Amino acid sequence: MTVFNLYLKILNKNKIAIIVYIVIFTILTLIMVNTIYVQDSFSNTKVDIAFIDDDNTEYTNNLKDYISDYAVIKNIKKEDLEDAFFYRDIEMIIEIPQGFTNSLASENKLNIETKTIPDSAQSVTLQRAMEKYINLSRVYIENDLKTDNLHQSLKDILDNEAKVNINSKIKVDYTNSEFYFNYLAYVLLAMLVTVIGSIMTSFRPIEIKRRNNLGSVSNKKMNLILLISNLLLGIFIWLIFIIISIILYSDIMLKTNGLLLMINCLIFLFTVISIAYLFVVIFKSGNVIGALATVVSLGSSFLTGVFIPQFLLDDFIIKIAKFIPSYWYVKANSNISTLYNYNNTTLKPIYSSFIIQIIFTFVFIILSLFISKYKQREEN
Amino acid sequence: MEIYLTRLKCLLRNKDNLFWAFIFPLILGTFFYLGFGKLSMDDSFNTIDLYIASDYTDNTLVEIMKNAKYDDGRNLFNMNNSYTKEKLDNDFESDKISNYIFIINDEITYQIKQNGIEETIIKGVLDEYIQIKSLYQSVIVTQPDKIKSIENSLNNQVTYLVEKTTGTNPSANKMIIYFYALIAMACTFGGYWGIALVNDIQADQSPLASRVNITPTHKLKLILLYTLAAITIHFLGNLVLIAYLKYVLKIEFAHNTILIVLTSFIGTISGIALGAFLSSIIKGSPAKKEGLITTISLTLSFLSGLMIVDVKYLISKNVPFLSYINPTSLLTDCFYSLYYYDDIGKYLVNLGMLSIISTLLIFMTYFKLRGHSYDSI
Repeated sequence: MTVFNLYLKILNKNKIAIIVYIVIFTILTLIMVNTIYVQDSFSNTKVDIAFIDDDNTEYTNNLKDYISDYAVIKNIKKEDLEDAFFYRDIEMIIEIPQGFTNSLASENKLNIETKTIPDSAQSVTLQRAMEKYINLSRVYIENDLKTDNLHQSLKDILDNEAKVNINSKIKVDYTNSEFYFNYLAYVLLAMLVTVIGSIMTSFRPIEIKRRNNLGSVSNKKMNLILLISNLLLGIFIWLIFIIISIILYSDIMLKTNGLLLMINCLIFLFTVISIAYLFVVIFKSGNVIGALATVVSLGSSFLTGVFIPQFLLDDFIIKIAKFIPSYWYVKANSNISTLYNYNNTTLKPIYSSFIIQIIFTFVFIILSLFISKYKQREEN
Repeated sequence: MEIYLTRLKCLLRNKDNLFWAFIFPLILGTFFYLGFGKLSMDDSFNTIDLYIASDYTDNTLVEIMKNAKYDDGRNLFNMNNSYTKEKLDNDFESDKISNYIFIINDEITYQIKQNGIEETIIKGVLDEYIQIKSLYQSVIVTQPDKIKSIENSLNNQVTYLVEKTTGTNPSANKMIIYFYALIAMACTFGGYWGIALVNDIQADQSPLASRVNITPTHKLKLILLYTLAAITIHFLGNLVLIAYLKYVLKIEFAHNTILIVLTSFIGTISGIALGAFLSSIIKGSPAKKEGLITTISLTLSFLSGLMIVDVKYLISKNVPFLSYINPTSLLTDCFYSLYYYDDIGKYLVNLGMLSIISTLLIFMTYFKLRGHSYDSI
């Protein structure tokens, strides 16, 4: 109990770091939470645009009305357009010159100026739709076709659309919970390695070791209690994040997939603790371990697809990433999130990711034992 | 001169500061690069695989779909019309294909799994086909004599949309902000040197400072030399970072190297000034001050888009005032406006604001530091 109390005392000194991590992480995920939706009817993928109409006639307003099926027209001040385009708040700028409507009937054609992202698939659809509308109007005007209302006639034609059958089997969207658990890989690594590192290094100075050797608690027992305390701390923090996840994604977390996500996270937690132990036996100073924790957590997160989906990563980076435990953690999360049929073939990749993480854990434990034995001999 | 050199040596022995000010930004930059240096976030179009049932088909439509092209001449679709509807039904069910088309009694049905960009493009072309057909049908009834001339008009497609060439590069996008915000963060980390500066000069901050204060050297001279040493080291570190980003990782920068170096120089000063100012108004151990500087510079960096780029845009759009008083954000904007805009007006505004803020910080620090004398501490 004495050892455990001491542990709690040192932990208390680190409480601010822990609380800050938990709060920032929760706020970040709250920002990222989107509504879960099920698709059952066709809708165009709309592109965000700015529509600058210097002509402002009935015709251009009708055109604007028509393209709102293909685009979300955003209200942006002229001087902010370039910034908005750079940050991709809008993906296309459309400028209709003055006199455009009149030019349709005349020989001197005026052009609509656009600014688009090169090779962008989204703006292609909108461009085609606009060209179609204007060309149809031209056909009407050139041939002097009878019409009471040009826009209405055009609309009657344009309302003829292909029938779309949508057949989507995917009913539950795991994107948010997957993101949450992926991000946890970063938080757990950064937080636990720093905290455990700073607690365990307090026992490192040789004077303290000598003092502890004099005490009635044997070295073995003390290390065991410390280990259990660290595990308890890990599980406690794991529980906090699980509870938050259940609150955020209650409809998902209490199902089989949610349970698998939790188990995966628990397995990864042990890997993280073993990494922390490895650092503790190698390095003496809490500051160094803290710096390393920052570098390792950020580095492994960037390399293994915590921050960006794995399929976007370079093949070469993926090859390296396979030697990092969080790669398997993220992979398992993504497999779990696309799991709809529960059978051997679909579950196998998940289990193998579990096992690989466990192997990593054992490797780290064996390494730490080996190094600490070696160092102890040196000290004696 | 000797004081300056000794001070440089002192600073170089501070391993913690060296790590956070030099090594850490380099490492983080490498991670950014490995993670998303090659990503552009923009979807680019590709030729789309398309299946039309061989037994429920329409030859005109197949021809049109085969000939549909992007502006640059690439085919829009990779057409396959050799499978029967039954086979396509099965493939669709077993997830081998994600969409297909069949036509029964003139009605085109487009079978899809989910909404998306490709689906939108395909449907757009199908719609066009149906619409032109319906135009003919209605004209045949009302004005059959015009069919021929309408056909001519339709074949003679006119392009109305023209890509505008402005001063800015349309491919440039926000991913680059991550790297600019990183340089800005590195500049703000100059605050660590600022803390050390005040800590070693102000008599009530450390025993070393008390000792320094009883020397005959004038305090202003000390402050200037110490600041100069801090600037030398941090500015060098910053140049290494920029060179690394530009030449090793090949991140795009503006072509005007002198202005980039100038920005980094003023950025360094602003970082050190910020640290010195905070250190002069807050009492406490260096560790506490460093913790504070870390928190502040990371918060400022967060607001400048270091963690999530869109944060920066949202702030400059909704609370522009904040981005004008945040030195980190001003720095990021300096690099951004140099790179993105042809005209350097925006750049000068940002750099000017940054210089004003730095000057203010320096003066406030100086007034706080000067003129103190102690009989006993």
